[in-house]
Amino acid sequence: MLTPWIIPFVVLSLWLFSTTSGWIDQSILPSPITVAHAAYEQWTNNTLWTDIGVSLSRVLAGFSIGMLSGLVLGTAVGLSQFNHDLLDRSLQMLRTIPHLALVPLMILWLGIDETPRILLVALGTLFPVYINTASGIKNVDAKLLEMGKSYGLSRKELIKQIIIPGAMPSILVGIRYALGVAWLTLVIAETIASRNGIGYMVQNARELLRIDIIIFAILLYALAGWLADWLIRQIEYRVLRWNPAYKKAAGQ
Amino acid sequence: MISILSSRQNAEIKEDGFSACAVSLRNIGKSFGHRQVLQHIDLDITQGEFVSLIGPSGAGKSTLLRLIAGLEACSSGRMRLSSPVPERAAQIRVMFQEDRLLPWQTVLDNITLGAREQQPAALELLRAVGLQGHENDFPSTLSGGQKQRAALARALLHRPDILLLDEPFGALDAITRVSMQLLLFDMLRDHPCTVVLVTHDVEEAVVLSNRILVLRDGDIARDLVLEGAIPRDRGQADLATLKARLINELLVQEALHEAAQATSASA
Repeated sequence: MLTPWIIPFVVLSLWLFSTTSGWIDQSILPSPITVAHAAYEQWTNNTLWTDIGVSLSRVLAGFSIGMLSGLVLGTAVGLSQFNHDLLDRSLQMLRTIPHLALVPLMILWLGIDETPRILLVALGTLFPVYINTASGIKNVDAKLLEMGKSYGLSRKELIKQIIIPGAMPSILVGIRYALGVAWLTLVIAETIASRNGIGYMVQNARELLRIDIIIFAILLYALAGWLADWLIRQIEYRVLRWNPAYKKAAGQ
Repeated sequence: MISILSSRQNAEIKEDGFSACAVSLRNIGKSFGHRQVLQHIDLDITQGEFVSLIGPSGAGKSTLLRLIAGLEACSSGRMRLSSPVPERAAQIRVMFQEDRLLPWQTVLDNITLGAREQQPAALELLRAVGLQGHENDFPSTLSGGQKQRAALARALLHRPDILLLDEPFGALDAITRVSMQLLLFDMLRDHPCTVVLVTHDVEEAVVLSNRILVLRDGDIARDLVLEGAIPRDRGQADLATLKARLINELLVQEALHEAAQATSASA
């Protein structure tokens, strides 16, 4: 029960000890207490919740658009050989472009408002969901499909009862991975001339040489990423409760 | 006493070339690429008959079953499947060696697959196969034998006219296999239908069937009709004799086949 907390506790203790005892200069690495003060300062400034809210809404909007597009494209390609032939090669070529390399183009084309940030997050999310959905559908057990056909299931029923549930473990892996990419993309996207958001908090702190605020913002990203991952895992345990591996993990 | 008729009497053939039998195959052939798996199969299986297909691996047993099931298309020949109910298409259900239960659906949902409206009948079948109390369990919590019981219940819920069994008990331990065979006959009493069983187990074929077809190189090498009530008592002395005879025939066939292959290779 406590095992997963051992390493964070040891790191925090080392950090506290090394900074308060003077081993590491606090101007290089502020102590956890200084970082906690910075957090309190942000809280009382009333900007903290606004920044978190803005970042969260950006990641939610970008992630939703990317995930839905990935699900739709992945399902279309997974279910139809024609769609596969038509779309897959183009999508795979687009996938090889690092989406963060598009930042300068996005600014030139779309300006510096919310659109390029949300679009970047959506692009980062789309491909992991697309690939895992398409391959999940293609790898559904052919014997189960044969059984379904021999029991008279229509194409619609086959998709609903066999193909989508069979592809679900792979789809959820894609969504979970995509969520990590979404947060990573947000960090970069929020450095594009932002006026708010956690990324803006970091940019601002850098200009003011406030390392404590930068570290606090990094911790915020880590916490938000961990919470999002936890949420997806809960969905996995619920949706995949038929799978003994997930049942056991959920029990733990 | 098990008496054997070396082959069954020919069924009455109608004008269209088919008989009124449950399964009527005419000159059926099947090839995968250049490999001919079945050739010139003529077969009539009467309503209510329990037919076992035996033969060495690769003889075409499962392919023949899959053709009857409609899971594969014939390369040549014609086939007709008939229901004892006039004007109704024959209802066919297959039970495979693997249970093929959907792991994400409960036992009850699996059994009512394609027939959700038949839940009361499904619950009754579950009781009959000894799975009461497992309705809401997922298949992963069941043993191999229980999964096959669920698969049998699923096949019978549709009240099939023809039940096709593709080595359904092959992966089970000896005790569970015998108990499943007995259960199958219990269930067939309430849901009578024509049964075609593919098996590697000669004893299983002798105990369960009215008729045994021995397949060899894609053709029916022997068509044996066994007299007497089924399922047969395993303690019967002539059952062991018949089993030994069949195994012997298969071995002789195997030896002849190998000799023929050696001759053609040296030529």
